[in-house]
Amino acid sequence: MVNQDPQPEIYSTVAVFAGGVVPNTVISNNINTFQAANEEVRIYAIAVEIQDPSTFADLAATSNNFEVKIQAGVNAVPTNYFDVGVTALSRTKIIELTCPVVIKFKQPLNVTVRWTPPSTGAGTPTLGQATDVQIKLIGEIGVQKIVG
Amino acid sequence: MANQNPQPEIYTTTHFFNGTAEGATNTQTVYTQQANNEEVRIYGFRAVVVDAQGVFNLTTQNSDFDLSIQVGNSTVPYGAFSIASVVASDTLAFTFACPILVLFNQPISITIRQRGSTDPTTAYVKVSLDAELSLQQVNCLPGEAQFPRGA
Repeated sequence: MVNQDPQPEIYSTVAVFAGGVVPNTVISNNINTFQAANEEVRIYAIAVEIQDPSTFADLAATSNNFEVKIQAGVNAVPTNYFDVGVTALSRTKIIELTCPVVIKFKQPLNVTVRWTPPSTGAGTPTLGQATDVQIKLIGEIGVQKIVG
Repeated sequence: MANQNPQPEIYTTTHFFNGTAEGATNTQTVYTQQANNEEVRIYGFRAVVVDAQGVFNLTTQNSDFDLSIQVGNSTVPYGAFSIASVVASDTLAFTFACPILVLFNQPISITIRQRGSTDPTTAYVKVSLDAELSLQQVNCLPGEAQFPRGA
């Protein structure tokens, strides 16, 4: 339920990966938007940080093989998993989407993070240390506009 | 198939080089899953070079690669271009002057070509295309029977 129209929103999730997990391990988090039936959420950007869970040191320079999928309603938007390692390595650590992801009333919002190291052909790699992947969805919530 | 109009898309490909010679190429196909009345517009890309563990270190890692984007039966932009400056930038991102347009049934493939001489290190070049998928906009006057050719 909005207090102003529109109002900014930042939805934070943390995917907690234990050390030693195998490739394609996925961790999902649900986001509660608390929107009313006549409101919609628009997500404009995604901030990504890859951190040590105890010291909060930035691990992006040494471990960044992570991909993200955003489930908005019954489908993923964008359609596929996408790499966030490059974003975590950048100065801004933010992906600006080309157009907003729209979430309507009763559409579940879910963020899934997957560890996907490339196959080296030398056995199954494992994640070297416990890692937190923080995903922040930067958006707004507003009353739906009706045209006509 | 778009779930909303338009909807953001990010297409990621990974290209593997391991001690390959100058001129070696690696091509990956992108599947847009678009319907026949939809089009994809690519506004820019992000690129990074890492090793198998995901370590990013340009002092030890070769980053001298060319990128070309095949759309349909042509490459857009027309020629391959170096991504070394993108990989060395603090944003790791590049924005095109105008979007690349991908229509239905047009295959997209990303080709990375090694520019430098034989490099003993392992390199994974990751490219993420920043795009959007939407219904094709039709230009026709109200009541015209020329849909979807336009007025």
